[in-house]
Amino acid sequence: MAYGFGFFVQATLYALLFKGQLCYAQNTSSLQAVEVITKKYSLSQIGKKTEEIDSTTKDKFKYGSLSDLLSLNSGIFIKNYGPGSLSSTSFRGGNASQTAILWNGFNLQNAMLGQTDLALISSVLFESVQLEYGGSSSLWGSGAVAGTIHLNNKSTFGQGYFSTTNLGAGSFGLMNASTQFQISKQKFISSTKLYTSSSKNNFLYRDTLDKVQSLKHQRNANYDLSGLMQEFKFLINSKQILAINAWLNSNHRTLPNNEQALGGKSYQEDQALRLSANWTYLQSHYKSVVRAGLFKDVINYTDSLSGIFSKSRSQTLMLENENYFSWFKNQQVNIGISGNSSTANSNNYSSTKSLSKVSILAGNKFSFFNEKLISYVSARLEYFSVGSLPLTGNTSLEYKVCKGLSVSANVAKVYRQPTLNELYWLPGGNLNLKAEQGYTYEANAAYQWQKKSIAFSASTAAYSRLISNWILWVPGENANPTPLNLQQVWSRGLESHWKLAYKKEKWQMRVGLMSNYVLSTIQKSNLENDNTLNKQVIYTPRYNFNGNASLAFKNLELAYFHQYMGYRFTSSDNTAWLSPYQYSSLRFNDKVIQKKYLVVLFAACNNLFNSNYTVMAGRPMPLRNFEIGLTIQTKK
Amino acid sequence: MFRSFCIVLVLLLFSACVKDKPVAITPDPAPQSQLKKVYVINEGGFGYGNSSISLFDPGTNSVVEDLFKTQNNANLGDVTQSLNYVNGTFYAVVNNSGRIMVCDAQFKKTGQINGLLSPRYFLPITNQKAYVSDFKANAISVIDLGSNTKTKSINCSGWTEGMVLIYNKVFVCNLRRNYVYVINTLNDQINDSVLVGPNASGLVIDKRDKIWVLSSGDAVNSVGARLTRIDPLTNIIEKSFDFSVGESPDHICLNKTKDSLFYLNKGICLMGIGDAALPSATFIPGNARNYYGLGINPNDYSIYASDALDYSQKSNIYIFDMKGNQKQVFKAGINANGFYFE
Repeated sequence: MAYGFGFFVQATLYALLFKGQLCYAQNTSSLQAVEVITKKYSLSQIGKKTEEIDSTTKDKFKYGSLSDLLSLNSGIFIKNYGPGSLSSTSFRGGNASQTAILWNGFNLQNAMLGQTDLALISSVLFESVQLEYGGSSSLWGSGAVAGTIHLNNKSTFGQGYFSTTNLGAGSFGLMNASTQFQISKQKFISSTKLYTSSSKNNFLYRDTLDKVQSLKHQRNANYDLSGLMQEFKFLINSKQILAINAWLNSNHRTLPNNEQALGGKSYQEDQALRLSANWTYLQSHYKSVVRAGLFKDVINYTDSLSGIFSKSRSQTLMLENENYFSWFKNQQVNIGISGNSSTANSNNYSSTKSLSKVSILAGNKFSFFNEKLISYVSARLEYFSVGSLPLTGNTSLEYKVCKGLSVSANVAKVYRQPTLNELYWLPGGNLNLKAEQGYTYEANAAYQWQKKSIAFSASTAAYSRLISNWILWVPGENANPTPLNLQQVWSRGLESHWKLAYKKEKWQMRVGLMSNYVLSTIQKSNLENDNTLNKQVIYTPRYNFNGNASLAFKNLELAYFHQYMGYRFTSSDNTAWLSPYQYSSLRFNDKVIQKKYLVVLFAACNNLFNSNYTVMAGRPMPLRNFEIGLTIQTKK
Repeated sequence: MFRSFCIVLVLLLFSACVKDKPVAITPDPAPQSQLKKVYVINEGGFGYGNSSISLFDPGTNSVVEDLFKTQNNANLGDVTQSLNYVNGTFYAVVNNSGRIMVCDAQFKKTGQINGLLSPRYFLPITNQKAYVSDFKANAISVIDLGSNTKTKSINCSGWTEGMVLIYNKVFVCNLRRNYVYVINTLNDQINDSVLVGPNASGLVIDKRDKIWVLSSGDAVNSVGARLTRIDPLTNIIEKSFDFSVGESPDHICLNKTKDSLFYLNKGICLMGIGDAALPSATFIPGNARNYYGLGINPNDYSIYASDALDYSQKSNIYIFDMKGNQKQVFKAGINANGFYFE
């Protein structure tokens, strides 16, 4: 069925658009042509700042969540309510709903909430974590306003057997374990990942308001995360691959209260089932992908003392067809159609509610002067069940100025459609909400230089994004929280990223520095006597710096990570704020490499200088704490 | 090329367009008049621990922000729900901190009542005894005002909210039940209940000693809101007025002469206690404002309404005269939800 659908779409769209101008090679190609035909995410990254967290860095954070990994290794501000507690993103001054988090191309955002909790995503699950700064709504649809996080599973045929087991322990009862077993044959891959992480999480912190006994233990913060990810990949023949993925995630956590609040008894269960299938058809100058995904999310919140037993169920079904075609001297066109239907039920909905959308995407990549100049133009039209959106689009340019130096620019129209909660929550949901939308502009320059044992790279980015119809929850007509399109927010900023690597004989040294300057201010507001005009959006630090340095000798490596986070306003009129903090982490690992196995010993000291800090108001963070770990890998 | 690129990058790295450190504004000491003051109760953000009391002087139009912190150099706590003044002592009910701050007339802390789960409203019964309603306790707490301690609980399953005292009876709203419960204050026992509809949070006693209960309805189950008049002698409903489904009125209060009811419903509504029907239009339209709290100053009949704006900035407090004309606006703390008038 999927095969037929794919060919139907291809035939129809190509016939309409190119009227026989296509000129692809007739001879049969093998799947090595993957490299020739661009993937969607590499198209969307043209003209934008992108970063891939390298495997060495990722390995150092494999015992933690995605929140831990991104916090110290990206320009994203992670709104972290404490270890194991909610963690969401603020990407270039946007909010969590304005960041798309894609697993193998499928958006993980909860259909009801419009956001994803990074604390629930174990970082060991993904072979590739890529960050795409800037908006990409024309490619990724609603929500890709401020940036996109790509979490991808990558596996290659014919690699044999492989297994890896990670065991970790740490302060405050932290225990974690994960294992991966992979069979990679010439035409079949099976990869199984199992993981679990739990902690009493009764960490020590200082309560600065308590003059008598400031040193306290966190209460009611234990968590227990576990899950399974399974990937099957079939090489059907030289032109077709079928990949089937399943991801089951379950988390139980008690919810700590604010420092000044009385200890609570509330807890939350988050369960997710994510299934996807991906069929790829390849020829030398043509690729078609038919994909389907079914995501189910359950959130049970219980506060027995308050009599709150909230149960939320949502389900999203996604179908997508993407087609890539090379034509006339490195020009590539991509055309896609996708459908998405979400249904949800909650104690606060009058009945089961649904939201559906259908979108059409078309784009073209142009290459000139032997690929010195690359351009990508795309457009997307989307219809959803509570309204249609205007045409959105994206235009990008990349130019290689000289050896090692490139410049790029991007202009895009971006949007975020209202979530199910924003539309249907009772009381307060607002069916008249419009999509948040606006334009984003950015310019980048990157330089790379390498000589013998030294490699240096530096990049900088400047961006501006103006979003109208920004949705805010306010006391509505009857003092019940109601979402309204109220504000226009202008986010702009400068970013830089430096890397230096040096290698001599058995010594290796790496240094990295990231700086982010974000101004995200409210330009217009429909609220009367509103004191937020020209004020910085709350929980958006204007300055933050991440630095890291590592020194390795043979298989021993010591790495130091440091973060400076500037002031964060906690009130939208900027009359209250949190002070800057500095956080540091020292990580050590030692590898014992044998022919058939690899053993890695790991130790870390987090919050090395024992600083008392909070990322979010009233949410304490742990003082100095420790982790140890052991990894055993076998290969055949 | 390389050198110039690096210079540009270094400049970008250390560029600072806006000074990061915010400037704290310390207001001048506010002049005080002889007029009776207005205390604005600011919930703050739930979980933020930033609740406060603002002191407004109608004589000078001056505001003292965060009176508790000014007097005690400490935070009041997380979500201050209500404020009472009994025998020269303030009782600030701090809901999510599970305590009541006891302060003198200048708001200097003199004590603290602990042992409460999620206290909401405080009602003095005698000079020695008070009741405290509670979101989570499934009970009304009885407080000994002499020792500032909780002495016992009166079981009342659900979320108890607003309370009034008349004829040795306390009528208690319950947001998890469709009833108002009646407690005999002589033996601290519930002895009756009155069906008023879902989500009743507030009630008042008019000049004829009748109780008016405002139930906000249940939007999820399409049950409309209702205004109910109860005779406190017999505990019998004398009248009820039904709102349209979708309306969710709240914050009922009375004027000084106790003959006019005010409440929030897409603005500020006014209804005489002898009216035969609910008002067909708002007395003061909400327009773009989202009122979050309401109070009537018994000293000058003026109407105080708070607009919490986006829940995360200082609230606007609008003052109207008895004809509904706006007289003034001033800023109070975050999420102002009510007022205490001296």
